[in-house]
Amino acid sequence: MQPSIEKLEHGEPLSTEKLLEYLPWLKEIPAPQLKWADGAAVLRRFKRGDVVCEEGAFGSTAFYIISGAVDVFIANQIAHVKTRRGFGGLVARMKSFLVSDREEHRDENTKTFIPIDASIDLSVNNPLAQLGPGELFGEMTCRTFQPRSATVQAREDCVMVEMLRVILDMLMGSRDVDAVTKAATKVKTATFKGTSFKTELDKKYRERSLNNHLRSVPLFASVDETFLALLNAKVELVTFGKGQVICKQGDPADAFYLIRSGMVKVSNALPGGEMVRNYLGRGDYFGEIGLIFNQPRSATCTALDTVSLVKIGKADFEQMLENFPKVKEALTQVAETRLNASQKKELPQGLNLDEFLNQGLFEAQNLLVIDLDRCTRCDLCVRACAEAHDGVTRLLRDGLRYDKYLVATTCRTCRDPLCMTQCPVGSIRRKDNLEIIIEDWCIGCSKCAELCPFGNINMHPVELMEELKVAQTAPVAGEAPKAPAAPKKSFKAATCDLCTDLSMPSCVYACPHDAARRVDPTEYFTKQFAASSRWQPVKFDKRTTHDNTTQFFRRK
Amino acid sequence: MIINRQHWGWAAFFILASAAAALLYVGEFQPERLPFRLQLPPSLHRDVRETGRSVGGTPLGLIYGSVAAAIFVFAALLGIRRKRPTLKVGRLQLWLKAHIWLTLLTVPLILLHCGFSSGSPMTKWLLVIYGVVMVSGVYGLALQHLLPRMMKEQVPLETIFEQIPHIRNQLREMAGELRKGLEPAPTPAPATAITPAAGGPAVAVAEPATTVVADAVPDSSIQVLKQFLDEAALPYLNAHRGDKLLLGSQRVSDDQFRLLKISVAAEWQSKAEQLQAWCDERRQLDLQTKLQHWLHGWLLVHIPFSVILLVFTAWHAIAALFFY
Repeated sequence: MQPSIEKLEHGEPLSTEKLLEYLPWLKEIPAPQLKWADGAAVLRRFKRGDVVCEEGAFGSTAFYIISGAVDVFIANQIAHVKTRRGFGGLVARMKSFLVSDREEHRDENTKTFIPIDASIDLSVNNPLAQLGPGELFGEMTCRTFQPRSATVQAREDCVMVEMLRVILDMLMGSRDVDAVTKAATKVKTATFKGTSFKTELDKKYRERSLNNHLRSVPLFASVDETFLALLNAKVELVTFGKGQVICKQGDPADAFYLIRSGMVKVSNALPGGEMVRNYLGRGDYFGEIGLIFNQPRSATCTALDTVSLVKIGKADFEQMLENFPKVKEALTQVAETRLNASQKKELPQGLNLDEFLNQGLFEAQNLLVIDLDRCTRCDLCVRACAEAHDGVTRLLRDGLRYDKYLVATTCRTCRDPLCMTQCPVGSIRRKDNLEIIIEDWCIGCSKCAELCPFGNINMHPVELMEELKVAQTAPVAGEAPKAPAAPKKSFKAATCDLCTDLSMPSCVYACPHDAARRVDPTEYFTKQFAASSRWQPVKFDKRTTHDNTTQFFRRK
Repeated sequence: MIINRQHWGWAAFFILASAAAALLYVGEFQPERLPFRLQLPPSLHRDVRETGRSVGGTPLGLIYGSVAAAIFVFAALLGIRRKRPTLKVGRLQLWLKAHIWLTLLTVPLILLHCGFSSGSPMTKWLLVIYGVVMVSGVYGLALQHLLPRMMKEQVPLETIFEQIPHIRNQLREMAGELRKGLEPAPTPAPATAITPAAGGPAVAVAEPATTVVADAVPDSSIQVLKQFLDEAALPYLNAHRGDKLLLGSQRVSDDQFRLLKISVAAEWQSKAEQLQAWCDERRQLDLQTKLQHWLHGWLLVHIPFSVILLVFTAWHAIAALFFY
């Protein structure tokens, strides 16, 4: 599926006058700038039951509802691919199943809401909600070409304005063009200040969604309604443009942030350059470490695209901690885990850093390496992986070489997990121990698989269960559910699960020659090469990793 | 499997078990050779020369034989274990270590069991088969020490073994495309002039077609490249066994390509280098195939003879226990 970039393929073209009728806030835009709106919006009419957009589909537009109502839901099964042993004792084969979190609760899965590209969140237990006149959806798809995060179906006859990014920017403000693009294209891009539409949207958000949003964060679950109302009145709604630094490592901590929309990169400055710790999306929060431990910011947080945040000031935050010891306890626990994780990383000692960095090994934290001096190329590791995963291997005995080791093609649980940067529903995330996990509400758009620089994420075909289809076809109130359509193939992203059901990864377990090992590359190679007389600490050059972010310098 | 420090425990076990077996053997059958303190109780002494029986027929000899047979059965189970690599019956690594050291232990056990005598024709055959199995096994172990390292060093472009035919095809196709590209481009279809025939319908009259573009002056570099492709590179890339051809040798290939690069103009150097890279890759794939066959080929002897050994051992046991 290819993204249809900046295209309006259906609908009635809207003249500027008509557009101003439907979106009167655009009148605040100066006339010379308004000419940009020509041909950038169409009027769409949908009949009841029509699908406006489908989850996982690519797009480049946002929708504003003029009249009517729509159902927003996730049709894919809310479950994760799990491999486990079937019946039959010792000779049982491993099988892949779809397991919902209710059947198999994963410790760190504490989210109860699925973040989507609209002003509302969907409940994990019943991923269905309604939007009505005056609502906007598809903002992130329009801004960053993310796949659609949910399926939208007309609940009744609807009229909507479908718009391209330029109109969204006019309404909401800003047009982010990074310095490199600006320098390269030499094309002047208009910057919009925004209109009162944004203020209205913020007001609506504060009135209708903020409390739910705060409540959806597990930490605020125990806070009482009175305090939440107090917080609602006090919090600030702030927006940051692409590349803008929200808080900088070493600065005094002055606020706690909850992400309303967009992606935030969390990174640390190391002696050799920047080290990405995590990417946070809608519903995630940051800034608690400095406030709880009364210390300067421990990391730099940067907006990856236009980011809207809920900012809770230091005084309100401290009051909340004082009044609600449970919140304090939970936040302290999370802060400690995050702090420990961020302090684990050290520069490797004595390695051939040229290759180490070029191959992105520094970014990996759990690597499958095969010692080529020992490996007899019997492929038992691959067979074991296939046997452990329903006949479909998640490992290829091929890849780059680092000294005498083959770095096999399988998940490396990267420190800079690019796979997470564009998930439209935030279902791929990392646990506090940095392990990457794919949540139950993966919609199978395959964006993470495309983004993985090492091709280590597979799309696992699953059959949509009949009863689920009936339940998730968003029945119109008062009507019998529609008859299920023909069986539909659906997909879930799956990556190496380290065979968590077993005592050790199958590939390592099955290797008869002790050639396959799962290791932390920095620690393992440092040890290996320290023990080997061939390897001397090298002086190394300025280097960048695969994503051109981390730089290292030749040791003086 | 590489025998390294991790095998000390197994090596120690092998030495101790062999020594214990030898001690028991000497203590039982030749007690006079042992120092007084190490001698076994006189009731256990047996003189096989007096009884006329073979060592294998004595209780101790039977124990040695039974243990060796049990080890044979265990060793054969490795084949089944490998078919189910995730089976929770101990790591394959442990199985392989046990396979190596226990089967090595059968050497002293079998020697002591047969009392250093080859016995009847049947046991002679049994010993021959056992010898083949052991030699092939040790040979395979030696290869596993040498070849992985050799493959790592000599085949930097190593790929998944099953992918080799596919990559060879790709190389062949790319070289074929290069050869096609050297042919002069055909002229565009000649413009047809529509000339109305007198009193009749218009008739299309075509200009005589020419196949070579006028400005495509024969270039000596192209000729040299074409000749090289036709006579050396394409036959090599198409060949089933490339090592029999000239380019199959690294040294000859280097010389040939050096000559080719001297003979072509500067703008064709990149093509020559590309072609050399394809031929080098093909040579590496051939070498990988060869090494892979060596690395696993010994099993073609080891496994069938192991099966025959098991059958013969069973036959020997039945014959010895029930007919003698």
